[in-house]
Amino acid sequence: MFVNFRRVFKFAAQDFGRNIWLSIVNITILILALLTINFLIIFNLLTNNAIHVIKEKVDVSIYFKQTITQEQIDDLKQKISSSQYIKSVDYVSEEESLENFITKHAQDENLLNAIEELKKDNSSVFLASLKIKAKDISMYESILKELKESQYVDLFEIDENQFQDYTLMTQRLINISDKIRLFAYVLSGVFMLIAFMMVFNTIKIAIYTHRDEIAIMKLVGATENFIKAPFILNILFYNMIALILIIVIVYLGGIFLQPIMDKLFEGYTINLISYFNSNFIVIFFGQLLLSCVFSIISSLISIKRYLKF
Amino acid sequence: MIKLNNISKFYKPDVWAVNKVSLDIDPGEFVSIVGQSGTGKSTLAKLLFAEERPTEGTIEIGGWDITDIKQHEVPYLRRQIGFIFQDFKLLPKKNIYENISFAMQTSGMDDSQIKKVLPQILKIVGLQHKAERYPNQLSGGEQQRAAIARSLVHQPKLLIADEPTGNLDSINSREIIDLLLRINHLNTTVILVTHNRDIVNSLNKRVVTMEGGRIISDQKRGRYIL
Ligand SMILES: Nc1ncnc2c1ncn2[C@@H]1O[C@H](COP(=O)(O)OP(=O)(O)OP(=O)(O)O)[C@@H](O)[C@H]1O
Ligand SMILES: [Mg+2]
Repeated sequence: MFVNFRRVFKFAAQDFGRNIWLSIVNITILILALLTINFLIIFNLLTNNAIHVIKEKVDVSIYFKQTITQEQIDDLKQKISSSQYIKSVDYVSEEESLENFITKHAQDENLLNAIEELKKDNSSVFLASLKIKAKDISMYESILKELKESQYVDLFEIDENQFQDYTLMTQRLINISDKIRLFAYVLSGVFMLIAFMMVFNTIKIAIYTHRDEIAIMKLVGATENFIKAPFILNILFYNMIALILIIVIVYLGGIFLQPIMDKLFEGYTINLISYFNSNFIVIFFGQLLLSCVFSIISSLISIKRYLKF
Repeated sequence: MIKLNNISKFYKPDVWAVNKVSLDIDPGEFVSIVGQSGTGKSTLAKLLFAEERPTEGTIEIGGWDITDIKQHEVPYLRRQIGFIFQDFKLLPKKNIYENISFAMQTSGMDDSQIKKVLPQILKIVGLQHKAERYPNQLSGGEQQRAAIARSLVHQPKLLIADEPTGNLDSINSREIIDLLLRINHLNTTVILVTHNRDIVNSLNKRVVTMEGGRIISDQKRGRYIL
């Protein structure tokens, strides 16, 4: 048994070397197929994160008119907080608003000067406000509705611009990423199909070039599995090598992409390398399993077709 | 050793290559099968090593009914039978030693066995000094001897030779036949399919003559009668 396994292994290795170009083409196609899969994995990671980030940033603010009293503000805050949709309500005073504005526009001197002018008049530039975050982005509609039905509706103004902007952005992002994802699925399907046909033809060629050996093996009483096994093993070599190379490529890609990610997502960035590290088994062995299953099916069909017993 | 009972083989569209053949061969016999071209000699040989299955009748070899032998059992049948053919069937890119060890490896013999048995077999066929040569560096007779060596690796009880001298001149042919006789003396049953009148006549052994897929004569000490 062990002797046989060693021999099958040897025959397969010899064949690999003898048809080195065919081997390289096969491995390249497999790598392309796996590359699209890994692209999909990273892409999903990025879009999910982007959407998550947007959702985190969305809020709705209400700005109080001058006429509102502190009691009314407290009461309103109390009421809003008790709503089932709300994650948090923060009171932002006039001064805080001003400070936020100044830090945000620190570079814009004209704007700051204008504000200084206004301050001299002692009229307040900003109003106190409540910053409302929902538990989930889908709840903002309900929250807005509740606010508009509030008894204090005349005493504040709702600023839902930011919410509208982000909703639009999320929608766009989802649209675009769906398209890209569909394209990547199609592409990886195409590569898988090509890989499938490559394997099929490689086996066909191998059977043809080995027809004399095969005839003699049959004649001297080699078992069917012993004759078939080197062909399949050779294909599994391809898969193994493709996987090793794809791991290298993915990690190099991760190192390269990380700074771009950090910039894009600022505080919300994800570490690609540690993502792949912690999901290594699922991602890479999953791919190996997938590509091996595909390859073996293709090999078996080809063998059944071209290797007659 | 071999029991053929009313064997027929039909080929599409309309050929009965072998037609109701019954034949008993005892262990240790040397049987020549002769007949004109297309009379079913090779087909008969193929039925014996399960390259073909009979359309009708039953085949028994060494007590094993191989009439409906399963495909996965065929290798084990073939490990008990040696074959040689007109065209040697040696692998041109392997030398003689490798050709024979390849056969031993692929049929599951272990390395120590190969190391032990292979030189002995080369000696039997007289190729011990030419083991490193490639087939194209050998004469036809030597190539056929190499093929015989390969057929002997399992120490078969039965050797089937389908026109082994078809590509050889008379001197080389003689050598091959002498080798087959020696193997026969070592208690291996030999079935020799041949067209060679001189050889058959000189053997003075059993001769089975076929015509149109049937046996038309079977003589204990026969001559080439066509
Ligand atoms: N695979 C096949 N399909 C169809 N017909 C076949 C096949 N093999 C052999 N035949 C036919 O069966 C008959 C017997 O063929 P076979 O090869 O047994 O003859 P043979 O006696 O060995 O001839 P030769 O002396 O020329 O080798 C021939 O008519 C041949 O055409
Ligand atoms: Mg013939």
